[in-house]
Amino acid sequence: MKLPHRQVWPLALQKVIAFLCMPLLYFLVVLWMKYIKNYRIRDLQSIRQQFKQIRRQNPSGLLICPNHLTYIDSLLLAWAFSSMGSYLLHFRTFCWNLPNARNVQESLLYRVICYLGKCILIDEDPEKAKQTMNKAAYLLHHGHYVMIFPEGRRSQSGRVDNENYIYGVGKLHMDSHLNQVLCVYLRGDKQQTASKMPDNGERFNIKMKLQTIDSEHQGRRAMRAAAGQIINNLENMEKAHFEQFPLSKQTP
Amino acid sequence: MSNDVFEQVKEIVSPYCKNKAALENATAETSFLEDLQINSARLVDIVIDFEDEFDIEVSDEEADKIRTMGDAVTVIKAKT
Repeated sequence: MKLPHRQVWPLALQKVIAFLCMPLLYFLVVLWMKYIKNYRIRDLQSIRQQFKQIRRQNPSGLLICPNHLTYIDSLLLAWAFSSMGSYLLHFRTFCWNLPNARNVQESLLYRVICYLGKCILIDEDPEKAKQTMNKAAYLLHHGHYVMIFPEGRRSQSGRVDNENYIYGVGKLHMDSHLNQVLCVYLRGDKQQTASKMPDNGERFNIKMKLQTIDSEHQGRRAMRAAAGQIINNLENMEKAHFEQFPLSKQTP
Repeated sequence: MSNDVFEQVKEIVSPYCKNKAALENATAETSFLEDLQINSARLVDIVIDFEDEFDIEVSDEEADKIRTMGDAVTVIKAKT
């Protein structure tokens, strides 16, 4: 995947600025989540260990595909995956995110935070959206980690949306030429449906699974097949989650 | 032929269409996204269905240009 030079250097610049600001940003975000919102992630050390193993097994880039319930899913996952020190040593694993431009356009503060948090915005305009996806594929191809929500938006039903998911994730997977994606299932004990923000004091469970994507097809059929496999995997992870944490028996 | 293709396109689009009334009264100018309220991701399914139904191959560039019922008919007619 090649990008025009005029698109490469802004990404390189954003990476440098994000790296310089990451310690402060990470500190403030985790401070807010841990001490103001009183969020906790179960088995945090074990999750970080698992992520470390995945990083060691994957010297190349990695496409990370989580389910989507709240606006801060990517922040929670950034906190869960690694410590600040680990991100400083392996900054490529601090995920690039692809939020919808519409969600942040109105606020300068949001746009600044997004920029510093390694976000590249997906515009409504199909041509611009395509450019963003090309940038993401370029980053994956160059060893970076990229996070995209395959459902495309927060699930309105509170369950993995297997009807309205986007095929762009399949295209991104194909363009990256990587074999595997990391599927991640994140859910708080009290989360019944999608919301803007999890409740204060929420306890989160996270499961990760590296998935090899197989496809006998090419082109848009392969894209659809890849996206379908990712969604199926997330559905299976959701099923496993509710077997382990039935709604009525979740612990405080 | 054009009418036949148009009717076949209507039939293919029907399962993905949320606005059935708009589909019933569809013209060449009827847009998939705005008028028929089809999810943009499902446009990919529709193009794949066109390929299967008419035994054609639609390139990404051609698929990107399919915005209305008329666009679909034009692409299909050019290939059959």
